[in-house]
Amino acid sequence: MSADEATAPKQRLGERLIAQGYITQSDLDRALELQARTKERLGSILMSLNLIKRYQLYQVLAELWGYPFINLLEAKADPELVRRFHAEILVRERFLPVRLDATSVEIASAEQPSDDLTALIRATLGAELDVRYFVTTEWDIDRTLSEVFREELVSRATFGLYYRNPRESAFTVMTRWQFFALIGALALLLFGLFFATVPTLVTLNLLINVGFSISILFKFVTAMAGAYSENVEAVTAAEVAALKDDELPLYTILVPVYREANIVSLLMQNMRDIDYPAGRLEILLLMEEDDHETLDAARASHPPETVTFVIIPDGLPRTKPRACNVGLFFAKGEYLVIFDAEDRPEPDQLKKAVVAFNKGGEKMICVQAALNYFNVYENWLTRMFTLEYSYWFDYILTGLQRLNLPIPLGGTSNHFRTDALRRLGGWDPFNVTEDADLGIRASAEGYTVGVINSTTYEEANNHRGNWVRQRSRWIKGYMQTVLVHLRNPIGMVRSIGIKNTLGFIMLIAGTPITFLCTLPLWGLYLVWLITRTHLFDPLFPPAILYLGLFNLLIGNSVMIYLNMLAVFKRRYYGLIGYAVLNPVYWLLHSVASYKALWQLFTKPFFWEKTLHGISNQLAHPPGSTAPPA
Amino acid sequence: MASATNWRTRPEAPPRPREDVSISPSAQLLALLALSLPYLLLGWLTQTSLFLGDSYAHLLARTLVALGDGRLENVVLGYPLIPSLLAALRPAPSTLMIGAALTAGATLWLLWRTLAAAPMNVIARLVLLFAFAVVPTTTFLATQSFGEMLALFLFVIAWNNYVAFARTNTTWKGFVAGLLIGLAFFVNLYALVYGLILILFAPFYLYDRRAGSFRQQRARILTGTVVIAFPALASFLAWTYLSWLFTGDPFSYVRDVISPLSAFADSASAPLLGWSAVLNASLSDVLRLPLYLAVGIVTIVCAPHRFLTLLMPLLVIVVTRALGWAYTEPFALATLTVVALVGLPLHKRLAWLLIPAALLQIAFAYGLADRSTEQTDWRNVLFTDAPTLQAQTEAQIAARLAVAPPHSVLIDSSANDRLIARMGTALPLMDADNAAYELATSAPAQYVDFIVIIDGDQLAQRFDLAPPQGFILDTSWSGGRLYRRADLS
Repeated sequence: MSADEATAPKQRLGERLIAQGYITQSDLDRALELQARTKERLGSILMSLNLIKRYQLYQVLAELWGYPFINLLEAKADPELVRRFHAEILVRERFLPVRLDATSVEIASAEQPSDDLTALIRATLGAELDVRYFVTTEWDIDRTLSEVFREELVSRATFGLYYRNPRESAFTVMTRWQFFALIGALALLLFGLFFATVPTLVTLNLLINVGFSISILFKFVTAMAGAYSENVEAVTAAEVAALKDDELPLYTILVPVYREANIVSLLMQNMRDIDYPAGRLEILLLMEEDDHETLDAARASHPPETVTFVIIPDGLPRTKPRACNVGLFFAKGEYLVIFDAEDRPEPDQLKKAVVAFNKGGEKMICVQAALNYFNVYENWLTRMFTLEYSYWFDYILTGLQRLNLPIPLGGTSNHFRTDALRRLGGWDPFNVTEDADLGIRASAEGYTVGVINSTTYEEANNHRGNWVRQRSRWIKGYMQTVLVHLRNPIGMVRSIGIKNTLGFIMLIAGTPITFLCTLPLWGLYLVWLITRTHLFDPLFPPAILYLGLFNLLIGNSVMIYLNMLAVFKRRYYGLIGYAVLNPVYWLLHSVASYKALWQLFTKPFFWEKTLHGISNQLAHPPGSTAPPA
Repeated sequence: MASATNWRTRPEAPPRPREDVSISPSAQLLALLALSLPYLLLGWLTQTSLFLGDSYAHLLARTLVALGDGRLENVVLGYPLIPSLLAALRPAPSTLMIGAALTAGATLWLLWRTLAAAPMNVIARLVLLFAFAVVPTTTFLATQSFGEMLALFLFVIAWNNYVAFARTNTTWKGFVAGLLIGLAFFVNLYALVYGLILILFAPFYLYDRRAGSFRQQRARILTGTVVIAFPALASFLAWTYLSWLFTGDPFSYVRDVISPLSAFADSASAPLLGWSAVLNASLSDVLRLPLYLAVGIVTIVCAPHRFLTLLMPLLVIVVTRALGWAYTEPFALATLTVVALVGLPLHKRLAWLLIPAALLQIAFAYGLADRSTEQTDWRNVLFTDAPTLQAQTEAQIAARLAVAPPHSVLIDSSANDRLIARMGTALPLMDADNAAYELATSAPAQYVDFIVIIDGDQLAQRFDLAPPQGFILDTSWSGGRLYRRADLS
């Protein structure tokens, strides 16, 4: 903010807006009152209060600054000229070269021009040039940049991480050695089955049961660590209250939406509920180019001026991380968070994240809020999903943090330091659980990920087919993440240490493996239980039998119990009985895991779209999760 | 009992370990060892006096036979699991004795920490602790009953966490309380009784007056109860399933001779006690516990809403006894004393009543005769410091048989716990699990060097009247005989 804008021009801006009939005196008083508290720009406040349109504001600012206004929709910028600047600089400095002739250059700026800006332009285009300024809106600048840098943007959003380091990208599904290792393992298995059937099956059975036992113990210990620290508030209410509005940084909210026209208006409402100075919020609604329906719905919902539509250029893979990478390019906030369209974050979540970042130090790249559901009691599936998420976010993630293990991020409500995220290469658009991958990548590069005591309420999947689609994507993503990060196992151990590597393997690799094994193991057990056949006896020598019984009896009981505790903590008392149905729910996971495995080889980058907005409880207010009386 | 309430009143803060006083783990360990030391010495004295309790004898014999047969699964599947595993580490009475003494020390430490919240001076607190620590019932458990002592210890921790869970709704506390009661099932079948006590307390403890009517809190209370009860229930069902899987009888483990339910399970030979006998026994137990009675009086006067929770363990003991559970006198007295100490009202008023009661309890403990014959024997051995003749004979025979060649002692291992436990090995034994057992019983001279006969066991039916051909009577003692092959010196 320039000095003159900070003092006298503020009054002049307000007076000018009143004089032109855009606002009333009471509007101005209200805005000035807010400004006194937040020290935001008056224009931003007026826009966030929906008292003035962006075009109106910038036209008045143009008059005040003494430059003409330019509408970039009509006066198109010269693409070749624009490309002479780095896109990042144009986004950061909020200007755009429009036309260049032999002696002068026309510059459209969304900030009051300064000598520094002039020097920057001359350094690039020529020291002798006469720089003629025009005023335009940031939207126009961003839109022009999207058009001019379209190819670069698509390329960067899609292959940015791959170019940075191909080993970090899931674009290559398997490296050569991984492929040959897999083929070798399969060949060994077939060879063993052919020449030594029983010993091979016994060995396989042993490996599976040992794996299950380790996975159970790991989750038990992690959950215990999480439960132990349940009273440790990552961020206290007092810390949030101590934040001063005028010291809060600009925060970018990325909301990727696709074919979700039905919930755009709900999204707008949810964004309005966030307790953060509106002028310090930048909401980027990321919409695919071909999704006219959602774009129309977004326009029709009359979003506040703090909401910017970012159109994601067509391209493959059409995935959420690719859209987020485009959003990351335009993000101006110091911090950035992703929310899904139907998300209802607790109002103070952004402030809690700011506190957590302040406390966490420079190495803390991300904080994850808990996810839970607002349509808990809709049907059996939503109940089970809620049980699972309560356990996962309240115990496992908290436990991982307490044990200093890598944290796989959840799908939304992960808050980032924007610059660190850029340094990390953003999201991998080829990984269908880009969030989990990012959490591990951050850990591998020495960053830390924290957990905050705030919840975002989402829509639990209430339809079996939709659930399997979503879950198969998640499990496939875990498989991709394992393949990516274990391309160089020794390197991984060197970078994050043996403890973190083991934690990663047990959690990220263990999850798909255990789900893949669930169906056959339960199948074997049920066949035995019904027929009491002795056919399987050779496969279960005493040691394996005891291990299997431990997994069956203690393992299942422990996992059920942890779910029970989690719902008690969340006060979802009506779900306690459903915890015992978890084995049935895990069978559903198992089905999804086979679909995931199939797709890993047939359609590795295919994004199984989860339908949102199909709950009949969308209209309920956030937190209204109590069971019906 | 601590911090209980009824439907109308909110409990006051229950006695609990002082959380503000932080004591380093090493200091705690040191305190635990110091408190265990007297029990360790007592246990050592018991060992030198050759005393061996029935439950240790059975546990060790079962473990030794399983190890001797190379059937580790019989150790793992032996109930109670944790004492069995401990016995398998080093199958000797001293192992279990050391385990029991350390557990007793830990229990005392916990009780001391709990008493720290009581509004009284150190001397008064010490007297109260002594009412539990130095009485013969506790010293008996602390040396002769590892399973019961460990169950009591787990119950005290679970209890403290349960109260904290009820007070704060912290799931971690419920987690610990529930898991420990679940774990206690693998230590002692009484865990189910403890679980039942905590479940019955749930409406009193989990109800929060400020959170609306009981009806409104029903779901929370029920869920909290499930959180506490589930691990014990899961442990019970899991073990019952295993029992069914491996023996065909889901409740075979409760029929074991050391199971407190063995009489109930075999009611034809040992009919259930009548109500009057049970009430008599329980009343007699309570009269030996002036401290429990005094705490009851103080509770009635100062916190009447808590009285029911003090009474409930006694009621549970009475009912379970009536159902046939062998809730032994030492264990009942120890349980009720612990319940009185952890549930001490925090009021200063009438606190003076507790000290004479505690002293009286100590006096009663030494002045009144024990009803348990095993405890009486143990006390006699300790005071006379002389082994009984039977113990000496058993030890001598065991020492001889322990060095016999493998599978050279024909024996019914299910009826010779004491001898096998004293041997310290089962390798010389030829018992029913051995493939050659039937042949050996048909022609013992061809297979074994010794035959051990105990009145009423399987071999007694065959060789009761006289030694088999080729054998002579080597030694006899009350209820048993040892035959030796005639050609052995």
